[in-house]
Amino acid sequence: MRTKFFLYTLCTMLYACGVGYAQQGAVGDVRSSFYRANLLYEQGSYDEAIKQYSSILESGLESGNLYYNLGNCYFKKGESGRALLNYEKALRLITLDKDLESNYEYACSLIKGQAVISKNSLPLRVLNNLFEKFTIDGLTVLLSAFYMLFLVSILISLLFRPLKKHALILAVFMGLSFIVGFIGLRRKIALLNKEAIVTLEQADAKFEPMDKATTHFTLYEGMKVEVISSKDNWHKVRRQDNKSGWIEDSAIAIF
Amino acid sequence: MKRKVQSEKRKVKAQSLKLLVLSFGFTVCVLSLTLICYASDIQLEVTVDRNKIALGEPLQLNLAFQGMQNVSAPSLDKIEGFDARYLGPSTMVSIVNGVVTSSITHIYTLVPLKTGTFTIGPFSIETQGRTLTSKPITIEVVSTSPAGQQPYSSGQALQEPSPAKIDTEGLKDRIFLILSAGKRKAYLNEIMPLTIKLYVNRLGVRDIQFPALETNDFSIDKFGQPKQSREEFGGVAYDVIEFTADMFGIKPGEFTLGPAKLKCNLVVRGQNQHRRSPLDGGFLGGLFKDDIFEDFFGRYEAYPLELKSTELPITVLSLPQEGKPGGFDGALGNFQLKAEASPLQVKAGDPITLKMTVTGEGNLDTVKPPKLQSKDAFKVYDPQVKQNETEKIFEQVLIPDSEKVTHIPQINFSFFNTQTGQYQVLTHNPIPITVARAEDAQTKLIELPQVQARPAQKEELGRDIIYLKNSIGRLRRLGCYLYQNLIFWLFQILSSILFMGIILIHLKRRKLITDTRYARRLRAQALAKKGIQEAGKLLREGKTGAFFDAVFKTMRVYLADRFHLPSGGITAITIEELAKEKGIASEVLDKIKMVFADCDMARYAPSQFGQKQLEDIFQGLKEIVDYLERQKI
Repeated sequence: MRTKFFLYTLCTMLYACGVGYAQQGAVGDVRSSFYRANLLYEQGSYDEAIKQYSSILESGLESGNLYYNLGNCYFKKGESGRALLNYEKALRLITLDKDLESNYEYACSLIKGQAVISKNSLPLRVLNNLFEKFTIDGLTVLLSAFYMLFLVSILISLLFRPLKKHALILAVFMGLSFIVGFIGLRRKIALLNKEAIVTLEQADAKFEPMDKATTHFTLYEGMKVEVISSKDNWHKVRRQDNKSGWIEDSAIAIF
Repeated sequence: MKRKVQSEKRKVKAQSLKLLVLSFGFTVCVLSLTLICYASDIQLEVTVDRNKIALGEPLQLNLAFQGMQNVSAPSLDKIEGFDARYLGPSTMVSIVNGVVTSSITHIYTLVPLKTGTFTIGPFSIETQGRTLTSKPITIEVVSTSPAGQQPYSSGQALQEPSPAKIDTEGLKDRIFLILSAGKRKAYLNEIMPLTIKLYVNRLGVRDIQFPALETNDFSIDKFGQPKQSREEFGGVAYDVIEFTADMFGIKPGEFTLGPAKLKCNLVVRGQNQHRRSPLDGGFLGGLFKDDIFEDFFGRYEAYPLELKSTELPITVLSLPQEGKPGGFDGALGNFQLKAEASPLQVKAGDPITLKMTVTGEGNLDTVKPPKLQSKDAFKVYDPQVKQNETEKIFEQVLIPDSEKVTHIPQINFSFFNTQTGQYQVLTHNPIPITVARAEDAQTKLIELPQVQARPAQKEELGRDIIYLKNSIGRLRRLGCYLYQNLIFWLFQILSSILFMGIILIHLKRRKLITDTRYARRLRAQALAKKGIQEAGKLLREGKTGAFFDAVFKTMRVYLADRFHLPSGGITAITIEELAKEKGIASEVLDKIKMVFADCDMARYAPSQFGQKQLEDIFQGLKEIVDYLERQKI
């Protein structure tokens, strides 16, 4: 029995080492592709650079900096919609990056049409602003920490009678923080693959998912929308002012 | 000492005398002033409370002498068609802004004797050497009660309409609205006062709203706070609420203004009968009385009423083209122009503030900035405008280009004078100024750093995206998040299990400390197991005496712990009672008894027991413990 367990552990370790080595090798390729793409960008070959960056994504790896550089390539190419799409993706991974924030704002300022004002309710806006600077993983870790601290506080309150009052206050605080954080995380996760950027210069959102339907409103390149539902090649999208309409799949990129 | 007291007394007397003289002087002054007022403003005003009554219904006649109080009641015995009865005087003194006014009102009741139209007065009354004459008042006496009023009967005075008998047409003499304008002909944009008066005679009215006027031809300001007064109209005294506002025609033509509409609540009695003194105030008295006392008992009801005034034709004239000056910007009224500039000594390039004030009566909204005859040699900015009720101030910044400028050019302001019906041009003479050379200023500032000498210009920064990232950063699997990671969740679950384990252990330990029965119950099995092992060992070693001691001890301690009893209290009787109470099987009870009996016997004759018997006893002990452990007792 013991021998079997030993053999199983050994096999697992070897497999893990093998995977690690293979990944290391893959990471090395990825890095060289990344630097190559940077060189192509400097030479003004934006299309080639995009290809190189995209090859990294195709290998199943991603990073905030990768999306940032890809966004820059599209921006220089004049495709502000695609640029914003990649900046948005980067924002999910490196929320605190100042360069990214600057480029994102600049790209947003170039969106045509009038700015659409968000009509979200105040609690929702507060919640969004509160967790805006957190990545999904960051928020997950934070929630885990809240949970652990909650458990520890409960234990302290039970095992150390003199600290019971303080520990219970801490437990309540941690519990509430956990609930609020959980709502924030749920919202972030709910938006995964539900947000989209308009990639065409101009796209009409229609009342019905068909070409002949009446246009409800017009979306311009770079505008961010939320995908509510989909039917065939059409997506029902909602603008920030809560107006919704059907738009063709080719007009947006969902992320 | 005495001298001191006497001198003090003298002082006090002197001060008292002074005060007396001053008081007398003040009184004389006030009286003389009052007399002056009396002498100058003596008037006779005759009013009735209504001019249409039913036969037999009483009418109140007031003879008010304004400016005097020492007038005796004139005798009114002979008034055609009426029987006059004197009710009494009512005096009033008021001091407003230092002006003393006084009046006496002699009140009469006139009861009509026949139907028809009668004229009361004019009355001519001689007093203080002057003859005061009133206007005549026409009274119509009809056979039936107007406005649904009941005929007069003994002991019943003036009536108010009951809710069931509200008739707007019938009340038109007692509550109505009059719309009037300051002018019937006005120029386009010319301000004229608009007045709407609510007349109320002997009715309780409340919740009076601001009047409404629908018009597309006139611009009407908001109505100000209404004024309340008492006014005679057609010989009848009315309480009047006056609403005023400014208005002007916005297009030329002949228009009809109105009718003005006003909503209010008429306070009427729920019951028909109402005693009332002829001295009661019709309006305010009614309001106070109705609201505080009568409404308290629910006797009065509010009846919504919408009053309409008559229409008012007004002609709005367009401004004449003849004589229209070149710089006319549409200002209407009668204005004056004042202008001043500061500072008067500047350097070329420094600003001068030209303050132009247009004052006067008229539509200040139509007043545009006065014009400079020439703007050459100046850089001119748009003026800042301030406006109040009587003036409009324009503050214009002028910057002289060079030191050659010697004056601010002539200022012209033209307007249409609505009083004269002609255009008028106001001019202000050029204002002399001294402009120094701009270089002088630079030479003075030459010692200062150049940055300070010239105002910093706003730097225009270029904008573009920030350059690429040189490192790829933290790589991760595409679309894989921590919350999807199995290890993460295992960690969370293990933490939770650990937490639960610690909690359970803690609770168990607490129970062991606090719950003795539970603690002994748990201990019983462990001790029994240990005792059985010991007994088994002794059995194998052939130590019969020690074996029985171990069996007895194990049995007694186990039963005591198992059933939470003192060890010494375990006897055959207690065991029997316990067996009944806990429902222990009789075979087991017999076994227990047997074990205890064998142990007792072994103390006296241990040699009686063979190996087989000893093993049976040992087996019996094990079975007893096993049985009791299995049972949920």
